[in-house]
Amino acid sequence: MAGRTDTKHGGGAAAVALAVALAVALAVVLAACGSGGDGSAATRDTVPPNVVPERASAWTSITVTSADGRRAEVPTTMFSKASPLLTGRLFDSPEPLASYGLDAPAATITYRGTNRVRTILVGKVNFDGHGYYVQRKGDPRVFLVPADQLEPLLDLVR
Amino acid sequence: MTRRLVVGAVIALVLVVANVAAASTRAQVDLSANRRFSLSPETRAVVKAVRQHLKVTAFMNDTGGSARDARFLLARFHELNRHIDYEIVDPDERPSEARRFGITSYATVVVQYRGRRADAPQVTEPDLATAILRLLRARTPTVCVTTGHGEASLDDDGPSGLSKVATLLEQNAYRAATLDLARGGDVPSSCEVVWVAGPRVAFTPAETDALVRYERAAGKVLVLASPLSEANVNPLLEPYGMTFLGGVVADPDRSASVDPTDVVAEDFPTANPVMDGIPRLQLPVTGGFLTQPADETPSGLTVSRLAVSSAAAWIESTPDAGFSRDAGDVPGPVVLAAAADDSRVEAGAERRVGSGTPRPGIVRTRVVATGSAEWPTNQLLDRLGNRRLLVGSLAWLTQEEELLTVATRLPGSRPLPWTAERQRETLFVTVGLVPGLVVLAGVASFVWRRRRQPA
Repeated sequence: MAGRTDTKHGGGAAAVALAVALAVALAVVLAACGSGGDGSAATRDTVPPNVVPERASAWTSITVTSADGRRAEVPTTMFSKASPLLTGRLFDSPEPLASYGLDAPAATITYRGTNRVRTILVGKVNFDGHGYYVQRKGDPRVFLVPADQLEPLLDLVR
Repeated sequence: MTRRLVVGAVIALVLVVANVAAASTRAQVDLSANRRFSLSPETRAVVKAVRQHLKVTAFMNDTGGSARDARFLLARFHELNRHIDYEIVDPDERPSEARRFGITSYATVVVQYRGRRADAPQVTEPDLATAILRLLRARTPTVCVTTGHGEASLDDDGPSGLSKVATLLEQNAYRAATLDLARGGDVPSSCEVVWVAGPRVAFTPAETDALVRYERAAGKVLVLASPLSEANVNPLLEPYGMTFLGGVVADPDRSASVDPTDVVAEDFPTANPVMDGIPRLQLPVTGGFLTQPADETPSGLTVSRLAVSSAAAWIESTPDAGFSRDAGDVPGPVVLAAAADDSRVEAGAERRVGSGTPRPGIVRTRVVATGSAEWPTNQLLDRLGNRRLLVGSLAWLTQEEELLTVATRLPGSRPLPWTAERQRETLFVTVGLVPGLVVLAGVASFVWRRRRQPA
């Protein structure tokens, strides 16, 4: 009798466990698919890479060149302001480059090290004046760099 | 065992189907207190008045929680009216759009309707509704608030000031102006509503005449009378079937505190839209009104009793001697707020554009009066339905009752005044009704069992 009761309870428990497992699995799948909620896109909260990730000691010279041809060497005392060059935001699907002023950059910053060179194109200031649009040469992505980091460098060719 | 597995599988299948169905539907039920995830009735009224395509463009950082909240809110607007379309634009990512709209700061919201544009400072329900309201209305009525007679000030952010009212007026697309009649002359024609904001000192005869002339010429007047005031507001009320009786109303059954003059109004025997959506009002230190019965009012005049006290209330004729009902008092129920609409045809009320020929036209005077001047002050505006009374009154006075009212949804506390009447009801339910039902069920069960037992 006791054995029959155990079997009966065991069968019911198995059925409930199966049901719960399936429901949980479905919930996990739906959550992974991003369904439910208000249907909005998932927020992008990953930290973007810096425009120039290297430390200042990686460079032997940093040069700023304006669109009208003025050129200035960044003093070594200012290297720490120029590198790493921080990224405020990163845009993967930008508008046409002209919107950011990157079709005809206002300035170019060239970083030279012992065995590497980086060229950064500087475009327009953003809508509220707190950032500059920049691009790595050869990289289609557009970065937004805090204005207070770039201003001292751009002042050298103004 | 096999049968149970089949049953289990069927249960699982039902759960799966229910989950899939739930995931694919957008049906929602807002079970939160204050229905904080739903649009307020006032906002819904504004949204439903949109008849053509209306575009909301919110400029904000697309990566944060603010954008998610904005989408949630804007989706509620879109669900309610498919004419409303919305877009979240990241001004950093799409600078050309930011430039096109002249955006210079985050969280700016641009609302466009019929070729016009209104900006909202934030993506909040009141701000959006206000912007839509501005576009629907296409004008900004001026509310002129009387000053110089001890009235509360729109600039005063103290407990007895009206700074919250000033904000409310702005949210509802009104322009607030002060009206100093001591300078002489008529009420400016730009005043679409004159608010007599609880004068403590009497108006001069010239000031009263100016107000009466304004009122007669299709004026719209909100009168906050006060039993503590020397000002006689009856010249503004009596032509429209209302008389302020003064005195102080005591309502021990419905008071917000032990003070019987801190009256809570719960009876609104009117279909007037001024009272739409108002559950209760807190009207401290209020006087009473006498209103003309419908069968005695002249043609074209409609007088509404907006708020009435309980039958246990009275108008205390000698408040300085304490509050006890005696022969000299006016018995309740007492009218605490009233409204009048006087529509009449007058010769020369309209002029055709171009010809300038005067023609007969309808002249409509509207008056709303309350016996208390305290309820819209900063300390009381957010009590019960007071805020809604103000926006409802202004909507009705400006003849925009089908649209207006943007009442801020107040989070948090939901006060339920602990009146003597409610205490009695609670006592009856908890001590009498519920235990009585339990006892009754026991007796019924006992009798049923006895009858089932074989003899």
